[in-house]
Amino acid sequence: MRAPRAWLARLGEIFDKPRRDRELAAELESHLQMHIDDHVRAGMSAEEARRQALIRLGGMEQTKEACRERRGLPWLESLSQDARFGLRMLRKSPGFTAVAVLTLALGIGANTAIFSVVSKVLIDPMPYPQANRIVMLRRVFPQGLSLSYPTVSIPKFMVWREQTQVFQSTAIFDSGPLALNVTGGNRPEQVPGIRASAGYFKVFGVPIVLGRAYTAEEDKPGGPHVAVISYGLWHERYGGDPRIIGKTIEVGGSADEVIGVAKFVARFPTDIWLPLQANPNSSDQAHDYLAVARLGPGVTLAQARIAMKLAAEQFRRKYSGPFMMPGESATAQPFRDSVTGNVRPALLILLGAVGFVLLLACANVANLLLARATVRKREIAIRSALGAGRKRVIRQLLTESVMLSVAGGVLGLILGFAGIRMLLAQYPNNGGGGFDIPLIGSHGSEVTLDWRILLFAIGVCLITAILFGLLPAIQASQTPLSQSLNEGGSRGGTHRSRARSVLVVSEVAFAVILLAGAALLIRTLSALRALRPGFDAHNVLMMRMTFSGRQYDKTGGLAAAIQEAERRVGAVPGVQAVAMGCCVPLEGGSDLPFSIEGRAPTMGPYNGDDQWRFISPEFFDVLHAPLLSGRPFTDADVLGSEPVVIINEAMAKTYWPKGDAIGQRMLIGHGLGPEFEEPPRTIVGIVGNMREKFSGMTSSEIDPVMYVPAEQLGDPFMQWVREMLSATWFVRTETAPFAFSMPIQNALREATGGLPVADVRSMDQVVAGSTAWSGFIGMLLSSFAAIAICLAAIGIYGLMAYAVEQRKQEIGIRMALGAQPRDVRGMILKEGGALTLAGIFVGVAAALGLTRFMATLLYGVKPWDPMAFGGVVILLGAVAVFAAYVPARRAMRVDPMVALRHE
Amino acid sequence: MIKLSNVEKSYPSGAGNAWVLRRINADIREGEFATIMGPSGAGKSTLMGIIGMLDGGWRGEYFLDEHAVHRLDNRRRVELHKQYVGFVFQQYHLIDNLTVAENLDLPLAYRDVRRAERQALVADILDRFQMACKKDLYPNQLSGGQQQLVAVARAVIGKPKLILADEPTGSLHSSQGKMIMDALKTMNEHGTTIVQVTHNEAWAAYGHRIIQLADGWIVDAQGKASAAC
Amino acid sequence: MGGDKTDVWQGTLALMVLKTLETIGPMHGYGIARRIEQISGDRLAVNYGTLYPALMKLEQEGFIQSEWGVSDNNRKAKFYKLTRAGRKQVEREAREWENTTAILARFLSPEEQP
Repeated sequence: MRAPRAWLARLGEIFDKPRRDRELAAELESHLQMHIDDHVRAGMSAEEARRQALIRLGGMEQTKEACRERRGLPWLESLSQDARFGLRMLRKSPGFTAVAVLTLALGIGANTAIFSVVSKVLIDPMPYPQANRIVMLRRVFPQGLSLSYPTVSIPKFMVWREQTQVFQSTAIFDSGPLALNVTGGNRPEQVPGIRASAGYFKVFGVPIVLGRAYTAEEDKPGGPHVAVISYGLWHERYGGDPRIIGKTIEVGGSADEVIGVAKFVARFPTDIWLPLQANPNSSDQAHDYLAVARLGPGVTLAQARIAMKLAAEQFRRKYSGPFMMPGESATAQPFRDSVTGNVRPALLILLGAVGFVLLLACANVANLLLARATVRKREIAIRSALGAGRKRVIRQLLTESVMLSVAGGVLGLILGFAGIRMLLAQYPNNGGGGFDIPLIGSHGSEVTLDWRILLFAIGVCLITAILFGLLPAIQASQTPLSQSLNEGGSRGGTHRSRARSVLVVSEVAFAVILLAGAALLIRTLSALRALRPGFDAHNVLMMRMTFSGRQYDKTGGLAAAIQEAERRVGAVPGVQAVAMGCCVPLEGGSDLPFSIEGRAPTMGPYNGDDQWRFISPEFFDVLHAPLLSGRPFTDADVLGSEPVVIINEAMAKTYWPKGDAIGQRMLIGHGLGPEFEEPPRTIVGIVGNMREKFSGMTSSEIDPVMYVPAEQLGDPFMQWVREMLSATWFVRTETAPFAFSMPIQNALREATGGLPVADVRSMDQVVAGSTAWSGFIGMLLSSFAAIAICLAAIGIYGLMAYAVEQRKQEIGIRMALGAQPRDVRGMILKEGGALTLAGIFVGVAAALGLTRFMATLLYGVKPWDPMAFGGVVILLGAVAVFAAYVPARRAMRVDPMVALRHE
Repeated sequence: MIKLSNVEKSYPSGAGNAWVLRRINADIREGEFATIMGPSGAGKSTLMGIIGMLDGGWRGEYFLDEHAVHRLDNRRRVELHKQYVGFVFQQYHLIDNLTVAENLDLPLAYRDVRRAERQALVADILDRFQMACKKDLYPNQLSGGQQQLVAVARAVIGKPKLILADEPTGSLHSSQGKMIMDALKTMNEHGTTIVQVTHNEAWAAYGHRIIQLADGWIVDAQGKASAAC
Repeated sequence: MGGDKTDVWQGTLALMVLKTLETIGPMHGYGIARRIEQISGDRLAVNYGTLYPALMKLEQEGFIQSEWGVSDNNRKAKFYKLTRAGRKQVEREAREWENTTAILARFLSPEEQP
């Protein structure tokens, strides 16, 4: 067909209308003249000739009209006419338009924002080449993956990596970023870094933008001091200097040569990669590393799992003794699962929640359009009576619906953009409690607007709008014209108002579901906030420090630094006490296995594996943690004196339920490796429970903890500790702690020979941060619930207001029959109330089914918490009554005379 | 029973007022059957609304028996209305989604009549109008005349002293109209005061006298404005 | 009006116009119509009211071009002429038409085909 060309030609003709009209008139006139000439020549009178010619031409104007139809694009002209009319209709009812557009925008915007984040984390390919080929190598216990840590030890990795028939490459690296001191130059700072084996760069396909990665040769024990730095660090600290390669930087007190710059989104923020240089013959049993591998070509996950199982058995045969727990095996897990496991349920719940918001938005728009449909029924009937074809009427309504959806979509796009930014601004980025959203880059820099979901959401809204926007046209074409013209509007539309009732009921139900979710999280949050952390967080400042440098190779150096810090920081005006500890309460730390002297081993060779902390003597004083019995640590508890340990109440209750813990002896970390060997420690005190972590917010259990004096650790133990764990200083001040931040930092720097501090926070912030994740999810769900309740209220209001408008006459009759205004108000309220109750009933039933999926996010409340549900019902009921009250008031004011003035 | 003096009603329109009723003086005695006639827009319905105490915003004096309606507030008027008035409308104005029996029950319910008594009264009136077999039907299952009969029954069920019928036969065939008019006549013979609006001379003849309205004025038979008293 | 003359069928009018222009060269609307009627031995009556929209359509599709000129009788008239695309279109349509009529002829021929 020549259609495109013809269209183009016709399009051009639109803009040239007057000339074309003249030309056509001239052409037809000349045709007429020639015809007349012929007739005259054949002997007709001029008058008769003209008449005959006109008859044959079929009338001048009709022919012109036929040509005009053919010319230009009549459909385009009528489309623009439709659009103009549609725009006017929308402008004429600004309330309807505003509510519909805003509703659509909220639905589209919320979905776009949430889905953009979720797709980055759960759906989009991870930012590694062939990322689906990367697996995590990990231990597994009969209870399943979720209950075990993913960490591995070096000897296990050394056996596993022999599975070369399934793995193309393997790597092992630190299980969390180390705080590395970068000194030299005029600005010492702590940056996150990890030690990783050379395979790391192969497994993740790390793009090296400058220089090279380190080789397997350089990764051997005793290898050279080399480092790969991040693109960010290269730019921020070294100004993007291209001559950085080959330069030496001071990392953790040793001089490392920079050999490469990597531009890479790592599992956790990383600025420096150092070769792990692990000893293949190590017997170190500390499970402080993560292992990953890239599957070989054609290898399936199932094959890798079998290979790992075999490798675990191989390891068991190779190392007889306490190296594997009973039931322990090994497996391979898709890397994404290992990364997103923590946040997955929450993100899915958010996704579900915004899905409901979208449904609600659609229901609301449908509702609005149906309400409008009845109003417009007459208009449509009149149009049809005036000769508008069914197609034309449908097109008119279609144009309006599309205009609404497009306006909603544009506003939704804006809201979506703003929503993503708002979302990430609210997102707790402090890593407290280990709930980072992975894969979104620092501060969500990797998150971009997801066009797929935007189009999807707009599509859903468009379909809704078209469907419900067209209903009146379809119905109008089914009812006889005379009937719809004669109807005053008091009859008819009963089944349509039933449809609207169903919509309102489902809106209320959706709102109940969202509100129930939000209420449960709010209850969780308040339960979490009501938890006593076990220490006095008020007026305590904390800051992290990593003890790098030769002077801290021996424990004595650390002891001297602690005493010096106590002296110098203690001298800062306003400071009450200062202490050091390895880990920040509420944020977790490391655990070590132990055995109790005189007891048979119960767990492998041990009696337990629990949280382990090293602290300075003042630690409990600074945090106001009460000593329940025994004695505190003193300055006399140093290397060489009797080895001592203080345990918390939970540990005492777990292992010495008879209350005879004091004086007992325990052997900690024995058999893990040479650096862990130390004599048994005597329990000298029991301290009140401090919460170590909120255990993923699902468990109210308090972890058992053992505390040992930092100054009493053996030198090799000390060296392991300071590599693996950065230390934290805690300072109690008389007033708001941040006022003293600078003098304290200066005093600490002087006391430790110039070591930098990082992560300066008040303990109040730490406490707040520990609930930040549930706060974040709770905040999001609450805003969705707020949107939901608004939409539901609009729905109820719209339906009742419409009902009042429709039934004005009936209300008038009732009043003429003696109804009091309050009878009328009661009638409307009762109808609104019945719909609301139905919606609440359905919603509560559905919510009871759905909140089960939230169980992992909840703390201290059951998914069927009666308080939360009761609150939701009351709140929604109140809102619904209010929404129905306004139209009910209007109904009261209906003039009974409308019953008389019917015509 | 009804005494109107100088009753006026107007709507503000443009610069001045649009008069609906002007200086209406009328006296309707108890037991009378009065007919209001006049062309469309003469103010007939408005006058009915005022007599029925549905309409506010008029001036003048209106005594209903000893009650000075013009001095009563809206609530008292509604009370009085319930006590005195039953309405019959041209368009029947039955409520579509209520059955015949429920429609009849409505005025009683609004008068706080006890349930048992209401049932008795409804049964009674259904019987009297010979509609007992139709009590569970919906209005749209009835003919126009039957619907209007229900409307009349509804108007009288509360035993009003005054029935206001606004073109009760306007939408009916003449045979059905006669049925309605006969019903009204019977009611009147039993002592109920009736004011009707009609265009039909024959139906007007059922009444004792005719009040002619034109352009808001009461006019005499010759169509001249009657002198103010 | 047409008496017992057959009105030109919608679909074939375009082909007739094109064929006429191919045969006699540039011509105005009235001339084209007369020519078609003559060729048919006056058995066809061209509805002039549909002729002009058809010409317009052909022009939009690029099969014909128009320009103003002067007729034999010294009247100003719009002349249409075939474009190159129009020539191809005549060939194509004529072929199709032959096919169609051939098929129809087989259906209508009295003897059953074996």
